[in-house]
Amino acid sequence: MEGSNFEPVAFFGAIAASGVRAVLIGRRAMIVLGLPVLTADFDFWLHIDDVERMNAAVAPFDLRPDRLPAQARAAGRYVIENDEHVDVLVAREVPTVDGVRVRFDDVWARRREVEIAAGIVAALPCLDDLILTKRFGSRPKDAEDVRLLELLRGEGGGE
Amino acid sequence: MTLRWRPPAHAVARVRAEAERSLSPTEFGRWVGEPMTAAEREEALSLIAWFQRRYRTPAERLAYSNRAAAYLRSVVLLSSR
Repeated sequence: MEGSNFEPVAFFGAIAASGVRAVLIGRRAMIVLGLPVLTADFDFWLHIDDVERMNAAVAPFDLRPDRLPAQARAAGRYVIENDEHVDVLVAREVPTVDGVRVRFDDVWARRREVEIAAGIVAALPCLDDLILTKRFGSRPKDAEDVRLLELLRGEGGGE
Repeated sequence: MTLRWRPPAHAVARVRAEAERSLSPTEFGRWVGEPMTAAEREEALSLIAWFQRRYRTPAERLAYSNRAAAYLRSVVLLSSR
């Protein structure tokens, strides 16, 4: 299968340069931290006011939103896609499977910055918050990911 | 890479349904709280150590994950036909 010309480092560079408040969550965040999991998409949690700037930042990669910004805000999520698939949460807060309400502003305040490549930094939740965001889902694979992240935390990794 | 076997579409659909099903809060809590066995823990830590040794930087890890994702897409798309 022919791969696309999508380049992850350039993608993160464009997001960082745009100044949007976006944290990488999901399995790509786990991969950045050194956990060997498989995924076909990217997941971001984006500040609700930054939808337009995010869309503009990724437009050079031929990535297009599946709905208008107002619709994305109303739904609390949207998708940016083409050769790549990017799930974007835009809610101010999201409940975990067991009812803990997690606020974007708190996660953003506690974020960690990871250097993806020279001079290119991606924002990730701190490890405790990444585990919380993994509890937004309730699938078996989310539960397995929580176990893996807790193992990493127990070993003192990921920080 | 030459693929000698591809899963049939119905098998892919069953695995996907199982992976995507929702657990109740109680089920989720039980799943997460299940302690890893010693063998499970050792295998997980060994895989993590290999991955971090082989792909030392976030850029290398992301590049690897994109290659793996492209491979996965090719398998799933082809097996769905």
